[in-house]
Amino acid sequence: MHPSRPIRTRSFVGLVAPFVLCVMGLTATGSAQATDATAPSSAGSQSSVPTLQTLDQSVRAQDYTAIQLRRFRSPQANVVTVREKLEVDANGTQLPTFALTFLGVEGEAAGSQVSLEWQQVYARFAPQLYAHGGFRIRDLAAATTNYSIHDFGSVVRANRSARRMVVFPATLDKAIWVVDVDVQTDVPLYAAEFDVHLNLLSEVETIVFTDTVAPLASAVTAPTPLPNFAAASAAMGHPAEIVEPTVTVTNEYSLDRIEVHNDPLNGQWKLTMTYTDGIDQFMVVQAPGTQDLFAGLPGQGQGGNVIGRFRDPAMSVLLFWESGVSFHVAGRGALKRLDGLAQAIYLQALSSH
Amino acid sequence: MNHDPHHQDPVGEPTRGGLRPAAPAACRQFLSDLQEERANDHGTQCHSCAAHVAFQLHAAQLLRRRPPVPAALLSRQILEATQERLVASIEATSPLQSWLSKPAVAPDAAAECPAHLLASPLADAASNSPRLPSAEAWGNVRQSLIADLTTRRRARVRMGLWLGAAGIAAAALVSVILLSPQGTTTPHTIVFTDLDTMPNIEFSVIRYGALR
Repeated sequence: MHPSRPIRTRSFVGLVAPFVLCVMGLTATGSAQATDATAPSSAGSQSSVPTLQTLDQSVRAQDYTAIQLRRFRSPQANVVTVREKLEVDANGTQLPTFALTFLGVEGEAAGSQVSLEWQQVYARFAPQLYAHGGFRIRDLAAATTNYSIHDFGSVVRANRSARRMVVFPATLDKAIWVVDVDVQTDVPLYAAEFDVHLNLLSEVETIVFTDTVAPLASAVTAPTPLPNFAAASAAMGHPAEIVEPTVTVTNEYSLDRIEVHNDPLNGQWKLTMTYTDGIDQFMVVQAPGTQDLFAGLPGQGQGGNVIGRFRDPAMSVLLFWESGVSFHVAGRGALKRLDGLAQAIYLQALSSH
Repeated sequence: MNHDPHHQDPVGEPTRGGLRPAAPAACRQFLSDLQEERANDHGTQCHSCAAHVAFQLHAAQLLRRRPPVPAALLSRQILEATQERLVASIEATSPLQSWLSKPAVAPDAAAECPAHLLASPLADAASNSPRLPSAEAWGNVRQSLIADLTTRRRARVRMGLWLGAAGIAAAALVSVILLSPQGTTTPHTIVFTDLDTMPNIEFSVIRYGALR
């Protein structure tokens, strides 16, 4: 039994309904197990309708094991489907102990070159894929402020009863999420990310789900986040060149985590500050002791300061360098406000050195 | 002696009984025409006239030549003595000398400036002293000068106040700029450059799965 909570913004239903009808059609093409997609029910009409609060509680308390299909879409619209096993041992925090294991690439023989490449990717970046590669309530209060959730009826996902929910942002420069939530555990069994133009950006689909977890042999415990920037700077040896970003252009985002990482190969430190609006994230990464990647670009030698920008529907990345520190700001593609954020951080770095 | 009336003496003059040689009329007519440059062919028939003409031509050629001045006359003493005699002669006989030697006489003013030329209104106005303005007119002039000076003084005071205020404002602005910690900083120019390839960072793996 899950606490029920009325949908926050009913006025959005009229705006969301036509969009989600399109989304449901797109989702059905990508998930063969999505069935019984009934017409959207009125919000709060059933006591078992998931809410942002129940989703948040599930992350903190629910153990489970899932076999998932994670679909990666390349900029050229090619799709690679990777089968993975996710084991979660809840620990009462937003980032439980977990194990994410590569199982194979759909349509590729085990041991093939493509399969080996993806296996290496998972061996190296499994924590990042779990922490940042799907739908998750990261800050309940902020999510409640910045998103509304809408119930679109019952579905069956991984042979389990689920509710199809649409999580809609208050501003349209963020992702719109279609989430099939397990009725019993409030664990998302399917999450698809769309932009405002109905481009499907990412997709994770559970095909086998159990609400238990075996003892984790290769468990990954997220590194303990540092409480603030000063602690991170101290952990890195107080490098004078790093700056504490001022994120005024993204007011609804607040600092979620501060992590430092030392590369054992070259001893280089990296400071990662993750900001969230409750669901969406962007990162500000600073790596002192690196070379200027844009030293030879036009404009750099004429007193100009260059920010390299890569943007597509799935992501925005802004890179710059100042006083031996490589900066990059990375977030989702529609969040063009990151340009202003990168510019502000660059000015901070220029004025502080 | 038998005298031929057509006999000619060596100089070509016909002789007649007496001391004065007689000249035929044709010869006299020829000489007359020769002086007046009239045509006469008598010279081709009369030897005396032909000799006379040849003598005249020869004499004319000799007279056209200017004889050289004797060297004795070109000496400095001769020239100075000649010039002194010329000056003495001029002083004795020249009318210019007699006019210059007379004493100067003052001209008659009445004769030089006739009275009718001086009797014009302009001359009367120039020769008479102007009338002095009245006391009332002087009072008006004084009042206008005082008013003008007062206006100028007020304008100067007002301009001084404006200049003082502007100077204070400029000094305050300069002080703010100089005392501000950012007074010496220059604005930074930041340029965005779009990248063609995906950056090789962790976020690319999260979104696209592989570092390619």
